[in-house]
Amino acid sequence: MRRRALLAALVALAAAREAHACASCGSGGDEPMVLYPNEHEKFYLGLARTAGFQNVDRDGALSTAGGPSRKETATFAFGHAFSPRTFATLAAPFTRNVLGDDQRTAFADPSLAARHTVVMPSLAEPLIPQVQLGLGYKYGQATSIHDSRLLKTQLDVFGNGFSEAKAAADVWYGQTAVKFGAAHAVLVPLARRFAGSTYAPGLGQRTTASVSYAWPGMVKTTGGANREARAPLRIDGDEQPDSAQVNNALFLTGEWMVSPLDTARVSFARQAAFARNRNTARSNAVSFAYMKSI
Amino acid sequence: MLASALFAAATLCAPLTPAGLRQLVAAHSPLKVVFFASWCGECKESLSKPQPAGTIAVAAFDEPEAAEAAVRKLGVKLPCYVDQGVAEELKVKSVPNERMLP
Repeated sequence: MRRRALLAALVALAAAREAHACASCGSGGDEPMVLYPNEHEKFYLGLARTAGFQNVDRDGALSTAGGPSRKETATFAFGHAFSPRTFATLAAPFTRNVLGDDQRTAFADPSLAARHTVVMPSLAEPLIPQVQLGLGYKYGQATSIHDSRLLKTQLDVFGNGFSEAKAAADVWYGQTAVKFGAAHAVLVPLARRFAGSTYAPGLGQRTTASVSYAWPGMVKTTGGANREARAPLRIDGDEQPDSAQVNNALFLTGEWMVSPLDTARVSFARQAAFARNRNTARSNAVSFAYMKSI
Repeated sequence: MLASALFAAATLCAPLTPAGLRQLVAAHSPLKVVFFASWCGECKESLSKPQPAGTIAVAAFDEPEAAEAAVRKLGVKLPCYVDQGVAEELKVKSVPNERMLP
């Protein structure tokens, strides 16, 4: 019984993950968009539908998930460039959880991220990649499984309950028709008290690799994978046995530059898609996004 | 006059203001302007393909040193300039971008 509760908590930690499949930066990570050096401000509206949830236990075995059958998320984001090398993005997701005829809506966790380009790419030096460093913070304000009032359906669970800081490095070879990206992020969740106990999720490490191809007509497709590993959860300082997490995800993205200032993107992402996953959730997401630079 | 201006610019990506562009247009019309940036992979084609006489390359949204290094490395034959307000005046917001100025 205790093991089941722990798995539920761990799965809830992972289920809030989103893969935006950031095609232009290689990171496939948290920020829904990046700004190019010519862009000063940019808006983003993304609509995502995630379904097919299954729990993955410590041995990698799949089981039926008890929560919503699907999550629909509208994410609004705004990006501002402070210089051609530095920009910040603010993202605010609004989510609807659906189970049968029942549903709940709420704002999920907003996030703020900043990136700085330490090495600019050059069309004359295709073997020198773009290198970006990033910092981010997710504010864990949404209801989580720890303070849910609907534990049976989890329809009021919109986040994992924890704020989280992030430091990341991103390498991108984007000067040729076939483009390669790799990124690594260190995720630092902040401990929080629930019902008299202090929960401290483990440090996370997320690695992403992607490959893109730019087709004639300003269309780009990107495929990639990311692996997120989390150290064990601690409750009141005690490490919970077998609570380390691994999630190996795949994503595929198509991006169309509608005009020099407008971009449309469609993405598919599958969490816990391959290799050995543990204490996480499998799901399938399809999303459509529109970005406008102003 | 244009030839000397273009030749002078060919040795260095000189700054180009809207007033400077108007002088170039007055001396050579039509004038084709190829906007590029060193970080823009798609710009390579615009810089490398044959261009009509009277075409200039203008680095926009770019760092002057990076633009110049890219132009030198690629052996771009077009006279090179660094944007100082020209892109904004012509409402150029992305690269690559080509404009024919009458």
